Amino acid sequence: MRSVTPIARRTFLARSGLSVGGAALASLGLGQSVGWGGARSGVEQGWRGVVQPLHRSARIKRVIHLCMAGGPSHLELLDHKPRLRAMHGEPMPPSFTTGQQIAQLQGQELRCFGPQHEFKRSGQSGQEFSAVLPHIASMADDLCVIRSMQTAQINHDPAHTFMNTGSGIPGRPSMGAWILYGLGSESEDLPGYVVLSSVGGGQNQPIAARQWHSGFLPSRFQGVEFQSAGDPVHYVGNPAGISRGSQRRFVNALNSLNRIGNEGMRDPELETRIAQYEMAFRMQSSVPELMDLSGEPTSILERYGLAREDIKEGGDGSFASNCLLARRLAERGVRFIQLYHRGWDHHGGIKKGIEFTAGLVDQASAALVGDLKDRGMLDETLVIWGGEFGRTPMGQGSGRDHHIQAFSMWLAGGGIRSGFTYGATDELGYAAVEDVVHVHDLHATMLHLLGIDHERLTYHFQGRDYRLTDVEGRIISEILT
Amino acid sequence: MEVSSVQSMLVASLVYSSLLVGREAQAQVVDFQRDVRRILSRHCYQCHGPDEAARKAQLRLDLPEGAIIELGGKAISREDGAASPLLERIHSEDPDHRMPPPEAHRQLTASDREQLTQWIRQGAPWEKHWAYQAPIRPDLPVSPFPGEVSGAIDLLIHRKLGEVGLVPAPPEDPERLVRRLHFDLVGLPPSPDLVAQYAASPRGLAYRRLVDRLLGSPHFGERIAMYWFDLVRYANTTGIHADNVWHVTPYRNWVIDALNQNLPFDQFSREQIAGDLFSDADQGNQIASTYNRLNLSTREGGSQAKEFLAKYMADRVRNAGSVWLASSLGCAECHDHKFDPISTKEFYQFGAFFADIDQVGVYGSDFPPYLKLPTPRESAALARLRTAIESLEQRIDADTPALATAQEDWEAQTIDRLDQEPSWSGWRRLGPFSAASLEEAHDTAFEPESNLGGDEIVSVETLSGPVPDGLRDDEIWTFESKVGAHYFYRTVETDHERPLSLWFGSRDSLRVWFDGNEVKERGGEREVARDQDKVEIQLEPGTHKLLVKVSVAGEEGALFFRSRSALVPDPIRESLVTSEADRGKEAAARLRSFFRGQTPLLAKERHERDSLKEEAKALDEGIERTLATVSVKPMVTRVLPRGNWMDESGEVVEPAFPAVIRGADEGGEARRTRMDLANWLMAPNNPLTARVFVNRLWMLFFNTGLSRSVDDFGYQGEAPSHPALLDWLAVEFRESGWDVKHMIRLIVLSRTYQQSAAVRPELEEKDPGNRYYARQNRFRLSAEMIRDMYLSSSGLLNPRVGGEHVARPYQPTGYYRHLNFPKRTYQADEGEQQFRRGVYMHWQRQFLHPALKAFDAPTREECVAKRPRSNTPLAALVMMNDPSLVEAARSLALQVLERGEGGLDARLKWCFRQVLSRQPSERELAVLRTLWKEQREDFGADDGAVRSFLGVGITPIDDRLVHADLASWTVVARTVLNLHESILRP
Repeated sequence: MRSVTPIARRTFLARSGLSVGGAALASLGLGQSVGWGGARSGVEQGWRGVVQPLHRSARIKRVIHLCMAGGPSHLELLDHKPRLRAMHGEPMPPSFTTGQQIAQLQGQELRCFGPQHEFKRSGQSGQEFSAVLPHIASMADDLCVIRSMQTAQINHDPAHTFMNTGSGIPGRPSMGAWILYGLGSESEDLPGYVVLSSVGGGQNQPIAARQWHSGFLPSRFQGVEFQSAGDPVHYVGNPAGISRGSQRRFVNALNSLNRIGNEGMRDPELETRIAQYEMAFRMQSSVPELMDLSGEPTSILERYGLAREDIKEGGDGSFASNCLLARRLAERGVRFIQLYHRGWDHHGGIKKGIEFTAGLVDQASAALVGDLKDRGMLDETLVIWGGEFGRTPMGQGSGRDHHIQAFSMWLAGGGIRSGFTYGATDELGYAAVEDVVHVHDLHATMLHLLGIDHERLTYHFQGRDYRLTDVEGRIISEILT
Repeated sequence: MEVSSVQSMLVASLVYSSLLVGREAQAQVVDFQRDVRRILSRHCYQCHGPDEAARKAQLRLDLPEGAIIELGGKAISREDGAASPLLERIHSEDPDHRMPPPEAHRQLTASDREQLTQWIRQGAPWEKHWAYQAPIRPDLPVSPFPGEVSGAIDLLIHRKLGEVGLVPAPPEDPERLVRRLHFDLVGLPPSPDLVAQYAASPRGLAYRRLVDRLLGSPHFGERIAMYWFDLVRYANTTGIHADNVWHVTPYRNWVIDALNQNLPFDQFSREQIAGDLFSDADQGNQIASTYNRLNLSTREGGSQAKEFLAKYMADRVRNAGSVWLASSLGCAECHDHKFDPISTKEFYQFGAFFADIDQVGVYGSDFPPYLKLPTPRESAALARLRTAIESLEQRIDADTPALATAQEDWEAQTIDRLDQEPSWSGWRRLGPFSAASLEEAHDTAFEPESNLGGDEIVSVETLSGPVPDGLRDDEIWTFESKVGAHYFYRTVETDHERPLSLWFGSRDSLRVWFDGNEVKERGGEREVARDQDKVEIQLEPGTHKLLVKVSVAGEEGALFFRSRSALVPDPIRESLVTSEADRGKEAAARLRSFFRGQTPLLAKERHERDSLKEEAKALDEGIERTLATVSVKPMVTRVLPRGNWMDESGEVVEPAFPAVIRGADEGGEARRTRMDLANWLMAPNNPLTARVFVNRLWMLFFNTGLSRSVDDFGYQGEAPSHPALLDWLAVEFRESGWDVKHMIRLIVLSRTYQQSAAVRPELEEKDPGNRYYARQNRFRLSAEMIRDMYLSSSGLLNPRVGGEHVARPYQPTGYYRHLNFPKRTYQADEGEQQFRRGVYMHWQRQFLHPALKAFDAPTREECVAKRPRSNTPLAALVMMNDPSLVEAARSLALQVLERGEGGLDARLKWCFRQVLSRQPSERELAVLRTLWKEQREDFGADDGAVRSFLGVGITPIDDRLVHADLASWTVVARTVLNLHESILRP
């Protein structure tokens, strides 16, 4: 039995590049140091985060971000604009657009382009949803729609970076990394921040791994992307010909040798190394177990729209299959779960295009919320559904251009005022004009729900205390219960 | 308020006096540089710092004139310290009065307050920030410790150790020392023989020889380059959106070579920043200047050129500021720097140095300009082709009577036909044919296209369709529709050969057939416009058939059409209709050359010339290239208010250096250039560059810089633990002629470097972070060096230095599936290239190789001066299961077997020593023995497993060796390669 001495812990922190104040240091609660022999050895699982105690009581334990990548059109999904329909084909009043930033429509004649789909009211709350989102609409009373989102970046890559890190400049930590750094994870067998990216359905905008990076935070806080084809985690499979028993004996021998060989070296990294080999070994079974859907009843699979012969053999990389995995990850204590679904970049043919893409995500998004609710987990989860920006009320042929002045999202989960629509755009859906919610505000509110004061979760880097919300951020108390 | 203010005044006084009297004895001397500036900067400058816009109460604490009452400031009194408002405010118990205010979340600790108080008690001495004062070579002390010292490094380290009551560690065990030196200087483990040889006679002279040998090794350049590439963000892809590949390999090789040649650091820097501007720039200088092109660049459609030009500039400022000045200049892009005395204007002035670089905001299909670097063979081949092309051109141009006659005939004939246009029929229409989707409409061959090859369908006489009302040439025509396809026909007739150009526009998709052959296909939805597609046809005499299909997705379709058949281009036409006498020389030459470009008499020569040109083009495209820095007329650089690129109201600025570190600026009238920038960075009165670099070198050999903030020498940066040593090294570096190898030699020959890394109990107490260097540090190898370690230990490493190749080791399949424009599939190297060193690996910024990423290699989007060293399960998975490592383990196992001598223990020992440069202990041996036996038992019972396991990788193995023995040895080798110690620099 070895335990980590207090000094070694401190050195460990110094080596990890962590800059934490004395108070936080004292309360880090690092490492129960259960010791060798048990499966729960070492320091790494002990990462309980720097926010100790929580700045306020937490409403939720985890976040599931359903990232609709490509810039879904608020005008065809969540923000009903009858006036725009009436003005279809007429010149866009210049009072809206003069001096504004425009992407591909630069220098072209700007004409109003009416909503391409009908809207109707749903649920007791009577919130309005587009006809292309029937399943999501059926959950209306559990959702809070925000119609007044704004962002600062007009192209995909920087806009995603902004949505994830609060800055358009690459290199800052993503929100999942911040949360893991602040709170740690409840999962002992899986990484605390997991990313899944769906495949198929004409998704073509690239997504950079930077989106889930830890930036200047230590790299163990970065999101781990599970692959949808082949090994779900890089190198999670044994080399060909190596059985689990053989791998176990290999890891045992390795850990014994590591202990013997480093006796007297007082190397704090050693305990972590051993713990990480154990975690890696556990992930070799926990990850396949996670991905194995054979135990899911048919009724659940049907709910997500996955009732197919082969699905029980493992996720197929579809958004629906990833939603089901998101629930399984949530059950296993993963703190931040991010699902990317690309294919919302409808510069042309938006009518059919959005119907198609919505068809790929509608049922599963609703199923996830409903499934969490049925399991009593929705109250402790925040589900965020939306993209990196919106689209212009002006047509671009038969589609719409990128747009940062307005877009919509919906939220569901613990502490969220459900059956409620917040904020509004002008009569043509061009700009958010009422109760504007900036990306920084969304971040501040999310951290608030997790029990974190967004102004106090900081990290000192290159001479500055950085935080997710930069120098902004307002808690949107109006949407909280 | 009043009362509490008085109270806090009292508290402040009391604290102050208690420090004065009671605690004078133990009160440590507070150092302004080390202690006070850090506190002020971190807790106060957000509101009372250099940023004028954010400044509150018109109080600034970053300048003595703002802080010290006797100098005209408002916060601190030197004469009556106890009365300083600053003291009163920081000690106040009233939350409304106390500084920093609670809402700032920048509370001072008790020790911070104590230090500020103590400093004021000392008379509030104010010094210029340490990093902005020119380094001065300090006098050297005498070492307080017995034994050999090797110069300034040891003396200055020992002085501090003496002051804090620590002693240096004993010399490192020789085996470990050789291993340490090897990894540090060449990034590779030593051979067991070399270790044995040195350990047998670990004398100073032998060590010196080893140092010299390693500094002379071509692998030295590779090792230092790995670090340099993190700084300058060298990568093989553009980093944004589609993350396209670009050509930069020659720059990579230039850096490695320059480091091997020990190019003085000032020259090394100048060539990278301004090599293209050297008056006698050679190829090497130009390659070096690729540095200026390594910023993230985009090709994303819809991006605004102006916005990206602003981004590129900011990227370059951030990088150069970090690489040479360790300054976070980037913070001043949108507002004056919050902590350092750098204004927004200075940010843009710095950016203006790069305004001359030939670039575009949004790139097209590639990232020009490139510098081409043909091999002698390629040059020769190109020259040969060009000569041959030249001689053909001469033949085409030669005067012969036959050609003269032919031209006269051609002119006369052409003039006759000039005004004849081909004759078009009217349009006819068939359809619509409805379909379920646009795609289906577009792809289905409805009746009009069902017999395209035949004569009867597309013949104007048999057309039954109506005349489309309103469809006129040169106008957009819209028509009602449902989802489906519409066909339009017409014919065109000519009595002699002539070129014909057709332009189309459509909503939505378009297909065009000419005489039954498809000449245009454009699927998908789109808005109609004029001239969206163009078709060129060489019209033969006779009647021809044009069939156009427009498929429509929505309620309305549209078509645009126009045509032109100019027999000759307009200038030629003009020359032709002018009488020979009036033509003038130029027109005559034009006519002559046009004639020769199309007369059948020269068809053979032209054909031959064109195919040679094709060949030359193909050859040219295969030539190695690197992103080139080409200087053009500088763009206008404006201060962008709040960093907003759309705001053009900002002041226009010229290149200039930030005032705080400018020193004597001897600029004349002329606009300053990148060369001036480079010269200024390397100027003797620049206080930063030399310090920044030696501090980073120190970090490479000790794991921490003397100032740990290797990326920030601003106010927020950490003052050096050994300021005198940092200054000594900086001055020595400059005065040695910026000799990098000299500095490294000084460091590795020091006793401080060579001391043991073992942590002694008293050090855990007194110096857990090892800030005083009473021992060496051990730390994990970098991602690339881990790869190099196992390839080298197993004998698989391909030690080739440089070359054009970009190495692609095995990588999990499907990893690039999110990359698009174009789609990419990763092709792992075959043969020897599979085993190149990590430094040569393909650096895909957005999807860095998982093995590199797991060990903290940066994506190289921004300057990284220090990599984190994480310790994650993902890293463990890489080591356990990456086929590269499994293959290396098998290669090592093969060697164990090939040696064929000794029993199990002898082989285990050999394997262990091969990887770890030391003998295993008895207990280690016992574990390995058990492991081998277990594995032998497992594999002995499972031949299939043996075959699978030994089949990993590409190295062929003799079928006779596919046996449980080799498989078991492979697991043993894999275990040893996975050891914590194997991936440590000791």
